[in-house]
Amino acid sequence: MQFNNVVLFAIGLSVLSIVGILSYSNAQREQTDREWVTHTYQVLESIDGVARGVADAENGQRGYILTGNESEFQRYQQGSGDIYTNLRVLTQLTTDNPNQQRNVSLLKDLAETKLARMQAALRVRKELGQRATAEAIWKAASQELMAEIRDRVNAMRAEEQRLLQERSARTQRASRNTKLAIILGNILSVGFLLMAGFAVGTELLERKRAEKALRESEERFRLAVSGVTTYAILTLDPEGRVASWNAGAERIKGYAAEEIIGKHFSCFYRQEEVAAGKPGIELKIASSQGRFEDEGWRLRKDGSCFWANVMITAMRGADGKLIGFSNVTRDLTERKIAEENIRELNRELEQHVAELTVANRELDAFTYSLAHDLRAPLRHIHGFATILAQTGKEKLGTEGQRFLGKILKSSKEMGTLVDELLDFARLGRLELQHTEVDLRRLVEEVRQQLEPETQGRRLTWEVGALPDVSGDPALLRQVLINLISNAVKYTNKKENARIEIGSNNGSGEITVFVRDNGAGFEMQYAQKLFRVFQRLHRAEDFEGTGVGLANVRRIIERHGGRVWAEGHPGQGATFYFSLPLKEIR
Amino acid sequence: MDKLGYILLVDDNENDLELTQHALSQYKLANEIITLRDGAEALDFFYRRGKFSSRPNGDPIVVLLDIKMPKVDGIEVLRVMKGDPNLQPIPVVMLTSSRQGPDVDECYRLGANAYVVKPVDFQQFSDAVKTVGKFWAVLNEPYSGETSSRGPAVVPQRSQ
Repeated sequence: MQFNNVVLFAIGLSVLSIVGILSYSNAQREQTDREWVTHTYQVLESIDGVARGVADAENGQRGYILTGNESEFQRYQQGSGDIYTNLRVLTQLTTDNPNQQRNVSLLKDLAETKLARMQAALRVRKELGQRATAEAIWKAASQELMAEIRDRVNAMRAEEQRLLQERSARTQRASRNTKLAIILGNILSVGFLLMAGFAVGTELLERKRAEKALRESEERFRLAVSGVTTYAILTLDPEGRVASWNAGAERIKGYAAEEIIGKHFSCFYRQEEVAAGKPGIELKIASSQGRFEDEGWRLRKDGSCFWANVMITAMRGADGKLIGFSNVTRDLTERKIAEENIRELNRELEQHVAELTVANRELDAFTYSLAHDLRAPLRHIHGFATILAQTGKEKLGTEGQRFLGKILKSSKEMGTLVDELLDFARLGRLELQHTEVDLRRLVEEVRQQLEPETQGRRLTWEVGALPDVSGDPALLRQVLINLISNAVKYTNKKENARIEIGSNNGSGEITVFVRDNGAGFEMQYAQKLFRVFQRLHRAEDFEGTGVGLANVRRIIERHGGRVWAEGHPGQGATFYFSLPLKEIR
Repeated sequence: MDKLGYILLVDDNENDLELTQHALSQYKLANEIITLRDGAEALDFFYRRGKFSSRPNGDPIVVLLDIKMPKVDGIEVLRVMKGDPNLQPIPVVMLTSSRQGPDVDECYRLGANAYVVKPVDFQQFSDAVKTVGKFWAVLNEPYSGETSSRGPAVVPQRSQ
C-alpha cells in the first residue's frame, strides 16, 4: 500500500475517533444536565413545602384558637415541622448558589418570626384559656408577614425557574453542536475512507497489471531461453542440482529435461574431476566471485566427451541471498579439434624446420671440410708447378711451358672457387655484427679497391644518395664488392660504360640498386643468377665462379632483406637488394 | 745458446713441409730449420722424450705449427706449450690450410703469437712464409730468459 493511502486511512480513522469521543462527552454532559434539572425540581418542591408548611401552621393555629380542638393544634405542629424540614433540605440543596442561600436564610428568618408570633397566640389560648385575647392576637397577626413570605417564595421560585431555563438552553445548544460535529465528522471520515479505498483499489489494479506484465515477460524470456539450441542454458539450485534445462542443453548434453532436472550437475564432469571436487570448487568460485569461466572436457549422456566453454554465474535475490546458478555451456569441440590440428601441424612444421636447420648446418659443415681438404692438394699443385716454372723452364720446351701455364691457371681458379665456397659455407654459420653502416662511404671504398681493374677504361660513375643502414659492415662490403665488380666486369666490352648506384626508400625498407649498361641477361634466367654455380655467361667471355651472387643473396637474406635483378641482353642489368629499416637509428 | 736460433717447423704433410722449406730457403735464411711430422713428436721434442732425449739444449726462435695433424693436433701442442712456464715464451705461429672461425679465436685465446692461412697461390704462400721467417728470425729479439718478448701477430694474407 502506498504512503498516501496510509495517510488517508489514518485521517479517516482519526476523524472517526474524534466523533466517538465527542458523542461520549456529550452523553456525559446530558447526564449532568438532567441531574441539574432534577435538582431544580427538588429545590422548587422544598420551596413549595415551606409555603405549604406556613399555610398549615396558620390554619392549625386559627382552628385551635377558635375551637380549642387538640387536632387543630397538631395540624399547627405538623406545619411548623414541615417548614423546618424543608428549610434544612433547601439549605443543603442551594450550597452551590449564594443567591438562593441568602433567600433561604431570609425565608427562614421570616418563617421563624411568623412561627414565634403563632406560638405566642397559641400559648395565650392554651395556657391562659383566653380565647378572645388569642383570637385578637391571631387576627392582628394573621396577615402579618404572609406577604413577605409569599414574595420570598416567589423570588426563589423565579430564580430556580431562571436557572432551569438557562441550563436547558445550554444543554440544547451543546447537544445541537455535538450533533452537528458528529454528522460532519462522519461525513468527513466516510469521505476520507472512500478516497483511501479508491486509492487502494487503483493500486491493487495496477499491481495486478504489473504482475501480469511480469508473468508475460518471464514467459517470453523462458520461451526464448528454452528455444536456444546453440547454447546449453541451464539453472542450478544453490546445491548444484539442475533446476531448468533448455533445448540447447538437451542437444549438447543428450539428456531430456525430465531426465536431468533434480540431478546434481557433477554428472557432466569426468570421474577423476568429480573425485577431485571440481564441480563444487567451480560453484564456490562462482558464488564468491560472481562467476566462473572454464574450458575443458565435459561428458554427454552417452559417456562421450565434448570440449566445452562453461560460464557459471551466481544468481542472488534482492536480499543478496544465493538462489542458484546459471550455467551457459558451448560446445567448442570442433574448434578444439581444429586448434589441435593446427598445433600438430605447427609441431610438425617446427620439427621440419629444425631438421632442415640441422641438415643445412651439416651441409655447410660438409661444404666447409670438402673445400678445406681440397685446398691443400691445390696448394701443392700450384706450389710445385710454380717451382717447376721457376727452375725447370728450359727442360720443358714451349709446349710443356704452355701446359704448365694451364696447370697454374686452373689450380689458381680452383683455389679461388674453393675459397669462395668456404666463404659461402661460412656465411651460413656466421653471427651478424649489427652496427650503423655508411653505405656511401662503403661504395666509395669499394670503388677505390676496384680501381686497378678500371684503369684505362672509359667508365662513368653515377652515385646517388645512399643512406646509413643497420648491418654487418664486413658482409655488406662483400655484397657491394660483388655487385660493383660484376658491373665493372660485365661492362668491360662497352665503349661508353656507365655504372649507376642509388637507393629508394620504400615502406619499412630501403632498396639499393647497382645498374650497368653491360652485357645484361635474359629475364627468364633472372632467378638462376643468385644460385650457387649458376652462370649465364661462358668463362671465356666473363670470368667467374658462380658463387658471388649466391653469397650476396645469403648475406642480404641473413639481414632480413631480399635480392632481385632486371636485365636485357646487350642493354645492361640492374641488381637490387633491400634492407629492413627497423633497426636504423 | 746458439748465435743464430733455429726454426721449428711442425707439419704432417710432406708437400707442405717441402714447399715451406723451399719458401724459407728462397729468403736465404741462415737459420737452421728443424722439421717434425706431428704434435706428438713436437711434445717429445720439447720434453726431451724418446728419440729427442739427447737433443742439444736451446729452444727455437719460432715454432711454425700446422693445426690439422694426426695423433696430437697443433692446437693441443699450443695448449701444452702456453700452459708450461718454461715453453710459454717461445713464439708460436699457427700455419693452417684455412681460416676456420673457431680455430682462429681458440688459438689466440690459448696464446698463439700469429695465425697464418696458407694461400693456394704459391707466390702468395711463399711471400707469407718469407715474411714470417724474416720477422721472427731476423727482426724479432728472442726471449733472453729474463724478460718476456711476445711478438705481435702477423696479419694473415688472404687470397681474394
